[in-house]
Amino acid sequence: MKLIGRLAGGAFLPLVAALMVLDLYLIFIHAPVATADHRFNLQRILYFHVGIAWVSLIAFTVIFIASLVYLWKRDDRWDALSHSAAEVGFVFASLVLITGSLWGKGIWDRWWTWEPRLTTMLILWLIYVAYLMLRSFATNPRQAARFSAVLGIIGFIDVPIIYFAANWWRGLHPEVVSGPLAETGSLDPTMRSVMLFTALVFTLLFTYLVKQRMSVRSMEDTLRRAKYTFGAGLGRRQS
Amino acid sequence: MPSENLPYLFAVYSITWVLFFAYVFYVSRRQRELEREIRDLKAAMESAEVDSSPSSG
Amino acid sequence: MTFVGPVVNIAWKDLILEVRTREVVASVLVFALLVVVVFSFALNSVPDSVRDDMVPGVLWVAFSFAGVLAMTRAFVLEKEKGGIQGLLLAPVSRDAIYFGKMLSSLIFLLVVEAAFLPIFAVLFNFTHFSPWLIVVLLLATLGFVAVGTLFSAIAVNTRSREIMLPVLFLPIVAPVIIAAVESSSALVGTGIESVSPWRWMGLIGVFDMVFLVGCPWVFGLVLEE
Repeated sequence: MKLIGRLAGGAFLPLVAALMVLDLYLIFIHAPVATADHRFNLQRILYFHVGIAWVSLIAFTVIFIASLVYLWKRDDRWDALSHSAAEVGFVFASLVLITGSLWGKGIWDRWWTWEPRLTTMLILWLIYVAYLMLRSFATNPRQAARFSAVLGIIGFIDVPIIYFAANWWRGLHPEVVSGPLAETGSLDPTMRSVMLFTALVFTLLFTYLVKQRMSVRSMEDTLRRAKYTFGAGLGRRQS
Repeated sequence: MPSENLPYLFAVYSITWVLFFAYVFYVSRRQRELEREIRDLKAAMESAEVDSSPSSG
Repeated sequence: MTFVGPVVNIAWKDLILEVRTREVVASVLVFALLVVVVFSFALNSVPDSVRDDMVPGVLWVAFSFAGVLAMTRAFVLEKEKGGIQGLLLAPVSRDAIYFGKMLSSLIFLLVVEAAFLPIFAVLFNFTHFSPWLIVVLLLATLGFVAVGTLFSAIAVNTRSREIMLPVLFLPIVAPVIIAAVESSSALVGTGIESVSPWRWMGLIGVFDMVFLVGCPWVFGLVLEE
């Protein structure tokens, strides 16, 4: 934790930025172009799309683990982690839907198809929305922490079931490039390594954003506590 | 290389970055707001202490 | 015995209350009928043959929304009249409260569904009845109430509970809705058969088992305070 903190202090953001530039070079210059069909440039969307999708799943895993530990230890820092991961994860999940939709428009000429992974992602996105709504509708911070931790656990357990259901429901589209039900060996090795690198860079970006969000969250907590004690102090003096 | 698909590529990469920057902007603005609030609160606490010290003495 | 007793008592209390007030079953049934009526307006331009294929879908839309409405009521009275404090003070485990509330909601929903199906069959010319549909109905309703009881207890404690419950409930039960529609369609012989109805029922069964273990496990944490 301390090491990450020190890294985030100075070198982390430039590092992520540099890796991102390198990643863009790899995606646009280094990676071979897909010539199999009319896709050409469209496949370059997938590097970002898959990387972002990967992070939005990782983010929910972080929420799940942090929720479990929070309910076990009742340490506010874990709630801060799952709250921050949810907010950043929501940004990533929204991007998955947008980039996936654009890719679908290019490849199938429709903005949206009820394709298994898109469907799973949409439901995951709705769970993110529910998580953030639950936090803002809770009546106090402790309740928000407890309720959202419960949703974080239940939602995480649900994701594989959703994926299975969606997959059986509309399991007709090809192009599974990664994930548990992927057809392996269908991807050029260079493309595969660029894709993995992109996922790594986005994971680092996610880490940075969560770190930032957590520091804001800790300021929020400090301020709330300070206001509370200050208010209590004023009340005492007036009585 | 056919360029017919370039608009999609452009859209994906620009929307991604715009959203990320929007989020970073949102977080940093929130941070600045909180910093200001903390400063105000500190000032309020100090002035409250100054106010209360003669009356309590 | 020490576990089953309280569960049955809590469910029995809800049933007596329901028989006296008739608050849940009647209103949910009316609501489900309204959903179907709205659907028949919306599907006016659809040819009859296509409309027949959509019957299982319409049925499960009605049941999903009816489920949300019934689950909203599950903890409202407990919260408003302070019954939840009584339950918490009673020497019963939180698991017993969960399963008791779940059992009463399950019975309410099954009664609604039993009353609703004949009316629905008449309105939508639904003649391909299969006894296995009842199994699908039981499994899916069990899944609804397993998740719904937990989220109802959460939603009732938040501001704007009427919005919070569907937002929490529907994404989580999405696999149940998909599986219920698909297996019903396959059973009555409409729609495209992607996967056999037995596998869909198996999926709902797995969902039920997972959440009948998972939800009571975290339910106690929701009630504390």
